[in-house]
Amino acid sequence: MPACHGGVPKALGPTEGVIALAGNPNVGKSSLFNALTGSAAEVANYPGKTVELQWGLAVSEGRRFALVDLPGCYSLEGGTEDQRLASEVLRTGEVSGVILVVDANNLARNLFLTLQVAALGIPAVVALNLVDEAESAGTIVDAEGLARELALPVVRTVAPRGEGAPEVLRAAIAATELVRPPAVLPAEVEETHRRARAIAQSVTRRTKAPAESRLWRWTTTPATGIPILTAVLLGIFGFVYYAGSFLSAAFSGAWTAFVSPPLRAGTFAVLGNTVAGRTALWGIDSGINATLAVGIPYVLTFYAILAVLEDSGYLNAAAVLTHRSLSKLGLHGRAVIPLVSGAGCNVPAIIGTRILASRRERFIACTLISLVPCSARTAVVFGAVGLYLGPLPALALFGVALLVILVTGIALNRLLPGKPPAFLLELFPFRMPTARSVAFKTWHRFKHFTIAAVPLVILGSFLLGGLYETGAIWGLAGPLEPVVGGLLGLPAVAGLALIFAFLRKELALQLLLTLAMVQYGAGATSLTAFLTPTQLVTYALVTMIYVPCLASVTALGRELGWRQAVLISATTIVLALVLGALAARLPVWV
Amino acid sequence: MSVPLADATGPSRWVIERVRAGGDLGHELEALGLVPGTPVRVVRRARGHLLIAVEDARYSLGDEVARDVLVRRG
Repeated sequence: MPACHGGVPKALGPTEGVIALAGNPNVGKSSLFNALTGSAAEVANYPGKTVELQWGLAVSEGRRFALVDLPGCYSLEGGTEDQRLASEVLRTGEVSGVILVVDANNLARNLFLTLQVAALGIPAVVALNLVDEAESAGTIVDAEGLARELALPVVRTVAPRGEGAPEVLRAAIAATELVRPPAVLPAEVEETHRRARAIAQSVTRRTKAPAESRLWRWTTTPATGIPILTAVLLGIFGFVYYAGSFLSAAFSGAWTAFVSPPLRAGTFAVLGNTVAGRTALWGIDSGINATLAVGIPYVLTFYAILAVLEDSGYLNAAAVLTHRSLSKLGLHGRAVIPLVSGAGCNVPAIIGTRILASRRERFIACTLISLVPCSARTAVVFGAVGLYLGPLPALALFGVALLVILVTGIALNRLLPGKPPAFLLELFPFRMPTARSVAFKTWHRFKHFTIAAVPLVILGSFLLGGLYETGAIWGLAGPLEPVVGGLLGLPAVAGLALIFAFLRKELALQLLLTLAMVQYGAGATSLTAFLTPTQLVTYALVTMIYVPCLASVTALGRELGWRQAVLISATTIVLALVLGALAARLPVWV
Repeated sequence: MSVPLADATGPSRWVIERVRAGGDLGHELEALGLVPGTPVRVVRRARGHLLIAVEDARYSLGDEVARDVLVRRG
């Protein structure tokens, strides 16, 4: 088989061909992919597509094949970008074979896609997956009978434990040697479904009646579901916040203690303690430290919890409960997870909007997430307003943020073309996530994020560092005066600190004090030494609402494209200025 | 006589007679097997949505979607 497949990452080395893994969502495709490839996976876009595909190398008896994990889909026709991509990869003729992963618990629905793929004439094998779970639920599937009905090899697998994985790969490689004529598919979709149901019934034996899952009932009925959802969301928030903060302190502390000193000494040895030397340190030292303190720890923890939620099957149950409320903001119920996790860190939350189907939804969700006060902004609000004016004004600011989020969501839903998503989703069986699968998903997503985002944050640090070290930052004070002084009623140093806080929102306080000491002398060690209570509130409010930070804008650019990232950032700046101007003129905070 | 699934009260077993939705939603319903002739069981109703069983699969449909699926008694 010639290696004529444009999308195969070069890192996989020479291969004999491509084997695709196809199947419905949540049938254990990724677990089988992990079992077949080990940990050597590459993420790459299919040429001309924005959806990423997981690629890996599968080796059996010395034969090397590229394995591609296609997005889970129910059909090869129409639908979402994921479905269209899966269909296109299979139809282009670039795959040598396909492993059709079929859930033994839900055979009739799974066989619809199997029949569609079989009709393409691609050499195929069926991985009859999760047979252990099906058998313990009283569903016995006759694998030989299924093979006869489909005229395809069928291998029993339990992918989470890797059982049957080597056999299915061997069968898939053997199948690539054969020429298989396309199966004939009925012209009507209804007929194909009827045939899938008939095959499933003929090969399935029930030893007991299927029981209705109590977990589905508990998680989707408001009386029990809302307390469960509240506990899960608090758990997610707590995990992202506390585990993220712990990792942030550990990573940043280790960098500051062990890497910064030699890096500083080395940079000064080469460039001297000059503007160039100090600017280089802003980029390399402060830039990497910023990613270690802000993006990486929270992204890592969020990815881990997202993988647990995905694998457990809870995500869709949560969506059932929240859809009605979120649809008023133009969002599907599934948006609840990224929206809430944005309170830990906006970056992973923005990436988490990938679970939403349409671009309209993702744009609305990303805009709202950008307005959710992350842990860094929360620290600024409590450090500025809570510490000096008390907890009530600080809490009032969070109330303002919540109101802004709701009004923005409702407005975007009314103004943007298109409609809120129709609510239709499959409830997945609840399963205990395996550590292997969670670790695999977390690591590969995290690796991809780090490679893409860190260089941009470092570049931004260089630019801001250059402004500071050359003194050009003070030159910005004049042009900013009409906005900072005139509109917001703040001193010039506050405007400069707001610019730097774009790198990391925590800097909004630290840098404000540093710049104030340069401007007003060593006495400016407290915010109240140079800010009135109204100015404190205005400053905290503007910090809370305007552009989250460089890392989150980078995430917006990657997820939505730079035009929409700029649009969202500009919207938050306008909102922050309007609210800041109002706060400066309504001194009800004192 | 067919009624929208959203209004299907009484016995919980129904058969899909017709699907009125087109476009992406029509494709999605089709892919999930919610096509004419498919037996459907209403498992539970809640405010704004209902939970149905189609063979071994369970789907949650918003009322706006369930209004586009016409069913007759099964």
